[in-house]
This record gives sequence, structure tokens and C-alpha cells, in this order.
Amino acid sequence: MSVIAPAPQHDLALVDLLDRLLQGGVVIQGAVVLAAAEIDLVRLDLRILIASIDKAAGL
Amino acid sequence: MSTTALYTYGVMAAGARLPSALPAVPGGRSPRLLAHEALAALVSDVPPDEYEEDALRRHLEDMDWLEQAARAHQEVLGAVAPVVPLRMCTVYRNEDRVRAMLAHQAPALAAALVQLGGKSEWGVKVFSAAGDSAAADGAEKPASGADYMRRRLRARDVRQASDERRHAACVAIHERLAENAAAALTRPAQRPELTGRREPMLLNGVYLVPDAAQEQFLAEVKQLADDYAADGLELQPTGPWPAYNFVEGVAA
Repeated sequence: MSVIAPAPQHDLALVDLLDRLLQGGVVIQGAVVLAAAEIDLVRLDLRILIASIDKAAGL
Repeated sequence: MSTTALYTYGVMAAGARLPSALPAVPGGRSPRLLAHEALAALVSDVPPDEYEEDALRRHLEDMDWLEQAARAHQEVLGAVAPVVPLRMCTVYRNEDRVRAMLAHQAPALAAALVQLGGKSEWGVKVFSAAGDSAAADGAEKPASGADYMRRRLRARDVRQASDERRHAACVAIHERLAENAAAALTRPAQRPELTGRREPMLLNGVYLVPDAAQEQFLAEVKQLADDYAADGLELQPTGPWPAYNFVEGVAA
């Protein structure tokens, strides 16, 4: 099964997790103080994440 | 005024049992079930001043906090089933608000619990593993301007044919995987900055797979990986996940 890549490294696994969490799940309007859906988190936080990965990679 | 707010991970059946040791989001107490009639919210009591809107916005820009919260959210939901996952950082002011949500959304949530029961989400990404086949074409110097143009056009045709072949392969892969799943959809491909790979992601498929069919689904992934390796495609499965991507439209 050599064509299947090994598990992604720590930061990349986190990116994949955030990509799921910040866009998935039921968004319930109404009595909620805040659902992450209400702000454009995906762009905001993935940008921060990219910056942190770049930094970790010494770029 | 209540002294805790409630971070709500997801919704389960009221009689569900929780594993004994579950993590919690930052500052939160151990997750517990807060029941209303047939449904229960899976919640952690959290300090309100850390989880009110402005504080939450600040936290979400802090990578360490975001990572801790995301991992806890995933670990809690990944340890229980069946569960309808809620969007990360869904926070209520008090128990009454949570119960009101359960009452208001009961039919949709109960139906979703039935639909998701005994199933998990799997992701399958397809990457182009081969380099650009047209790039190999211009080793010798062009003999003339016309020759140069011919080469450019030929390279473009090769590239287009290759793109079309890979696109058709991804459609075929998605269809095969969908046949082995209760539900299937495609999400936007992640950009190279996010995947950490130079090769483009060609397919970002997600599949709701019955637990009983999981082995068969993974065998299918392996078979497709073998079948398409020669075409320069690489399949990367992840899972099992809570059904994050199969709850759209659940809430009214």
C-alpha cells in the first residue's frame, strides 16, 4: 500500500482537523452566545495557522 | 446570573452513557450530559468571562488556545456515539438556554441521531503524485519561432489531456467510494499551503460509512489507490471522524 501516504505531521494534521471543525457541525442560531460560524474564522484562523507553520519550518 | 456558561459539543440520546475520562475545552469541567426529554446536550461548564463573545474571538486568534480547543472538541466527540456534532465554540449562557435549544430543535436532532447512528465519516483526498508531464518536453532548443510555438501548443495539449484524465479518474473514484457509503459529498480542495504538499489536491471527498461496512470501504480505497497509482494519483484516507460534514441543514 505504498501509494498511501503516512499520517501527516503534527501541524498538517491540525490544519486538517480545523478545516473540518470550523466548517462542519450543526450551526444553531438563536440562543447561542456565539457559534464559530458567525465569524469568518476559516480565513482568519487558517491564515494564522499558515503563518505559524511557516515560522516552525523556518521559512 | 449563572456562574458558568455551557460549551456544547454535540447532542446525544438522553440515556447515552459517557466514557469515564473525557478531556474538556480550555478552562472547562469534564463533559456531562444535560438532558431534556429524549435528547441530551453534551456540555462542559466553562467560565463565562472566557467564553463570552469578545473573549472567544480573542481566543480563536490564539493558535495555542485554538489547537487545545479543537483537539478537545474532537476527542470528546470522537469518544462517544451516536452523536450529532455541533459547530465548534457553540456556547450557551445557562442550562435553560440549552434545554430550550433541545426542545426547539428536537425533531431535526432526533432524526439526525437516527440517520448518523452506527456510521462514521471518512475523508479521502486525492493528490496528483506525478510531476507535470509536459515539462519534460522542451529539452532541446527550438529550431525556430514556429517550432517553439508548436512545442508550446503540444505541451499545452499534453497538459490538458493529462488534466482531463485525472479529473475523470477523480469522478470515477468518488463514485466508487460513494457506492460503498450511506452518503457522500465533495468539499473544496485544500490549498497547497494547507496541505503542505506541492502537488495539487484533486479531490477532497467525505463519506458517511456504516461501521459494518468500514472494512469494505477501506479495502475499496486500497483497491482504487492501486488502480490509479499508474495514473499518478495518490489516495489519502482519514477517519473515522464524527459526522461533521453530514449535518448540514439539521438545525432549523
